[in-house]
Amino acid sequence: MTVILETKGVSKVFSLGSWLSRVHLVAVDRVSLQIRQAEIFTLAGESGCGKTTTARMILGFELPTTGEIFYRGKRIDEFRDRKAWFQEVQAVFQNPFETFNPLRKVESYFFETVFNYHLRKDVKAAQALIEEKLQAVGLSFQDVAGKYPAEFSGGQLQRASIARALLTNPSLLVADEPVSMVDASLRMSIVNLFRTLRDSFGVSVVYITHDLATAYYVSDRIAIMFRGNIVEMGGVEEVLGAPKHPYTKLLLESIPEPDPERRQEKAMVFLEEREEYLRRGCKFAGRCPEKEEICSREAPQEVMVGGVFVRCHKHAR
Amino acid sequence: MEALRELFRDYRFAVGFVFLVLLAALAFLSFFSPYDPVRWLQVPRDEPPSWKHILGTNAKGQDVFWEATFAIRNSLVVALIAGLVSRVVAVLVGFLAGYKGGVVDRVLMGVADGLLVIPLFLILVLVAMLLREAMTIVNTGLLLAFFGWAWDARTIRAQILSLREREFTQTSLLSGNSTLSLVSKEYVPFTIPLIFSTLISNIAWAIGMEIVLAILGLVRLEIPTLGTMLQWAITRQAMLLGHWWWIATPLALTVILLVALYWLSVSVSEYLDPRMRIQRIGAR
Amino acid sequence: MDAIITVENLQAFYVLEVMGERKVIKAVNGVDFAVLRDEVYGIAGESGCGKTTLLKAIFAALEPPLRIFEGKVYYYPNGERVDAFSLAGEARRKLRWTYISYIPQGSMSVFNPVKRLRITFLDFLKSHVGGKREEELLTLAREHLVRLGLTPQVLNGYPHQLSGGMRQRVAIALATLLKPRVILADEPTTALDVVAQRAVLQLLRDVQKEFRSTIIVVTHDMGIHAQITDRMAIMYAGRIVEEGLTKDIFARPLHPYTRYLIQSLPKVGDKNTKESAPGSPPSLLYLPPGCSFHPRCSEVMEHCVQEIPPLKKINESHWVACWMREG
Ligand SMILES: Nc1ncnc2c1ncn2[C@@H]1O[C@H](COP(=O)(O)OP(=O)(O)OP(=O)(O)O)[C@@H](O)[C@H]1O
Ligand SMILES: Nc1ncnc2c1ncn2[C@@H]1O[C@H](COP(=O)(O)OP(=O)(O)OP(=O)(O)O)[C@@H](O)[C@H]1O
Ligand SMILES: [Mg+2]
Ligand SMILES: [Mg+2]
Repeated sequence: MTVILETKGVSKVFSLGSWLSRVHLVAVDRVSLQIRQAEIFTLAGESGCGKTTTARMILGFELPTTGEIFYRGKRIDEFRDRKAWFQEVQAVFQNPFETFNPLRKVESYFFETVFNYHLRKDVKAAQALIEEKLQAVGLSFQDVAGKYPAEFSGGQLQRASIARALLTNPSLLVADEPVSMVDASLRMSIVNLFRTLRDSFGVSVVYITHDLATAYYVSDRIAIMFRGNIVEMGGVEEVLGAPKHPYTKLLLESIPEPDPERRQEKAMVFLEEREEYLRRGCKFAGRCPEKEEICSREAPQEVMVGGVFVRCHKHAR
Repeated sequence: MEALRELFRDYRFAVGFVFLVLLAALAFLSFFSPYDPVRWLQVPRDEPPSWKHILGTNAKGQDVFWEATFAIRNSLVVALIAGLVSRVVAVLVGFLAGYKGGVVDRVLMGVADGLLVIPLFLILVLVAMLLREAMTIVNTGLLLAFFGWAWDARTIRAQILSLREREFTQTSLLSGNSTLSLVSKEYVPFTIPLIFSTLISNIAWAIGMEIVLAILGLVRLEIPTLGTMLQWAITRQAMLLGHWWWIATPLALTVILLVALYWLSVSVSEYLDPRMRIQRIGAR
Repeated sequence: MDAIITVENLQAFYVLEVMGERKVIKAVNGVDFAVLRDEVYGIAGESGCGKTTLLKAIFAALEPPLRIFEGKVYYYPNGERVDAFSLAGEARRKLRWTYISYIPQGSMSVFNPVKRLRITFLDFLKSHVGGKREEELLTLAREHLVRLGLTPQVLNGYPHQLSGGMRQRVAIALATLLKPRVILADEPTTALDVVAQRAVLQLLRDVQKEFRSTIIVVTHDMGIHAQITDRMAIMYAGRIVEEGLTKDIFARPLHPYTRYLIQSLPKVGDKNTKESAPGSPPSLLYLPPGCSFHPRCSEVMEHCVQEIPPLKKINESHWVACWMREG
C-alpha cells in the first residue's frame, strides 16, 4: 500500500508566559506516523494531548519545532503553491462555531471554494455541485443559503464544514472531531460516507475523535496519543480489541457505555497537566495502575509487539 | 443605504451629520466669496456685525463671515489630508505587520514605537519652525499625518494578530482564497470600526493640532484657517477691544466641528462594533 | 410531585426577514414537560432539532430573532410558582446563576479571548457575590476548580492557551460556581475525551447529590444519557416524540426514530455496517405535514401524513407520540 503522508519525529513546543517566567510546553513529542492511500486513520486520546496540533502541522498551518512531514514523498514545506496543496488536502476543524467568520455568510465559503479552484464555471453549476455535497451530509442548499453562522446549530455547522471540505475531491481529508455534535444516527451516516469515500474514491481520512466506538467501526488503523506521544498504534482491531498500553485500557474502560443498566460510578483522580509534561520518566506513570519502579525514572522506547507499536516499559522486554 | 437609515435613527449621528453638512456647505460657499481671502483692506476695518457684514469685519479689513468660509475649508482640508494619509499608512503597516509577523513585524513596529516614544509635540514644533515658510495647507496636513499613524497601526496590528489565530482564517485559506482576499474579506469587516473611529478622532486631533501650531505662529499666517483666525484675533487683542466676533466666530465653528465629529465617531463605532453587528444580523 | 421547572405548550420560533420574505423556523413547536426536584433529566435528538433553543427558552434568554409564540415556562424558587418570561431586571438577575444556570453549547468559545481567565471569573463573581474582597473571591474560584479536578493555574492563562477540552471544563466550573438549583447543560461533554467525560459526569453527579440540584442535560451522546440521566426525552423536529425512564427508553424504545437512535449505536468490537435512519432531518422551515418523521419512517401509515400524533401515555412514566401506539 502506498503511503501518502508521513511524519518523521515531529515535535511542537509552545512557549508560554512572559520571557521572565517562560514555560515550554511540549504539545507534540516526536510523533512518527504513516497514512496510507485509501485508509481511515484514527487519532484518539486525551483532551489536550496534541491531536489538533498534529493535524495543524500536517496541514501546514503550524511549523514543527523539529521533525519533517512528507506528502507523497515530498516535504510539505516544498509545496510552494498553497492552492495546489489545499486542493489535495482538505480539513474539517474541531470547533464548528469558529470555523466560519461570524460576519460572513456560510454559503460564501462554498462559492469561493468552487470558483477559486475552478471546479465549476457559473453560479448555477456551482450551486448544483454544492447541493450535491450538502446532500451527502444530510443538508440542502436551502438550509444554508443566506444564513450567517450564528443561525445554525452546532451539528449543522459541522456538516456544512464537511461538505465544504469535500468540494475539491481531496485525496486526504483531515477531520478534527467532525461529528462531535451530531446524533448517533447521523453520525453513522457521515462515518459511512467516509467509508464510501475510502472504498470508492481512494480517499484517505485522518479521523480525530474521542468516540472510540465509531473509531473502531470506521477506521483501519488507530494511534492513541497521550501528552504529546503516540503510546500505541496499529490496526484498530488489535489496538482496541486487545489493548496493550495501560492508557489505552483506561480509555476503553471509560467509554460511557450506552446501557443504563451498567453505570460506571467509580470516581477517578486527575493530575495536573504541566507537571506531567515535564516529568522525566513515562508521562503516564502518575496515573498508571501497572506502574513499576523504572517508569518514573526512564522514558519508555517505542517497541513493536505483534504488529502494534507500544510505548511502555512492560512490553519493552 | 440600509446602514445609513439605521444610523440616522441614532440622534447623535443625525445631529453630528447635520452639523458636518452645514459646515461643509459653509466651506463650499467660499468658492462664491466676493473677496480675496488674503488681500487686506477690502472692506472697512473693525466693524461689528451688520446687515452688510453679518459677522463684522476684522483688523485686516476683511469680512469675517467670508473669511470664516475659507478658514473652515482650509482646516477641513488639512484635517482630511492628515486623517486619510495617516489612515492609509496605519492600515498598511498594521495589516502587514500583523499578518506577516517575523522580521517585517519587528521592523515596522520598531519604527512605530520610535515615533511613539519621542516627544511628539516638541518635534512637531521644531519641524514647523524650521519649515515655517513651507507650511502650506497640504504640507501641514502631511506633517500631521506623519505623526498620526503610529499608535493606530499598533492597534490594528493587535487586532489582525488575534484574527489570524481564529480558525476561520484557515477555512478561508482552505477555500482557496489568496492572502489579499483573505485579508479583505475576513479581516477588513472586523477592522472597519477601528479604522473609522480612529479616522474621526484623528481628524479631530489634526484640527486641534493645527490650531495649536497656528496660535504658536508656526504656520503661514496669511492663509485663513480656524487656527490662524484665532491667532489674529488674539494678537490683535480682540478681547481687550471688545471685538467678540473675531474670536467667537472661529471658536464656535471649532466647537461645533469637534462635537459633531465626536458624536459621529461614537455612533458609528457603536454601529460597526462586530458584536452588535452579529446581533443585528440575527435580528433581521 | 415536586416540580422545579415546568414547560407548557412551548412554541419558540425564529422569525427571519430574508430579502423581504418572512421565514419562520419552528425550532420548538409545542413542547410539554416537567422536570422534578433532584433528578437528572436528559434531552436527546437529531442535530438542529431545537434542543439548544429549548434550553434558551427555559433560561428565558430570548434574543431576537427567537420569539415565544405560545406557552409558558415556570420556575419554582422557594416553592412558589414564577413565570420565567415575566421576570425582568433585578428579579431575573437574582434567579439567574443562583436558581438556574446555563452551560451553553460550545462554551469553550464564550470566553473573552483577550482577558485572562482570572478576570473573567472575578467579573462573574463580583457581579453576583457582594461584599467580598478580590482575594476572597479568587480563593473561592480556586477552591471550586480544585474540586472539579482542575488546576487553579488555569486562571493565570488566556483561553486560547488551553485545549478545547480544558476550556470546556473551565466553562462548566464557571457556571456551577454559585451552586445553582437547576443546571442546564448543553452538550457538556462534547469536546472531551472519554476519561474527562467521566470526570464531568462524576462532577455533575456530585453537584447533584450534594446540593440536590436538578440537572437538565442536552446531548446527542446516548452513552451519556445512559450513564447519568434518570428520565429522558427524545426530540425530533422541534417536538418531544418520546419521554420515559432512561432504562425503559433503552430497553423498549417505542418511537421509530428512537429505535434508529438506539440501534445505530456502535460498540467497540462490532464492525458490522450500521443502518442509520434513511434520508435527512426535515428543514424546520418547511415541516412535512402530519408526523414530521413520516418521510423517513418504515412503518408509515396514511394517518401519519394527515395529522400530528399527540404525546400519548403508554404507562405511568412512558409517553410516545406515534400513531402506531394509538389504541
Ligand atoms: N497556540 C498555542 N499556544 C500555546 N499552547 C498551545 C497552543 N495550541 C495548543 N497549545 C497547547 O498544546 C496542547 C495540545 O493542544 P491540542 O489542541 O493539540 O490538543 P488536542 O489533543 O486537540 O485536545 P482536544 O481533544 O481538547 O481538542 C494543549 O495543552 C494546549 O494547551
Ligand atoms: N439565531 C438563529 N437564527 C435563525 N435560526 C436559528 C438560530 N439559531 C438556531 N436556528 C435554527 O433553529 C434550529 C434549531 O437550532 P438549535 O440550535 O436549537 O438545534 P440543536 O438541537 O441544539 O442542534 P445541535 O445538536 O446541532 O446543537 C436550527 O434549524 C437552526 O438552524
Ligand atoms: Mg483538538
Ligand atoms: Mg445545540
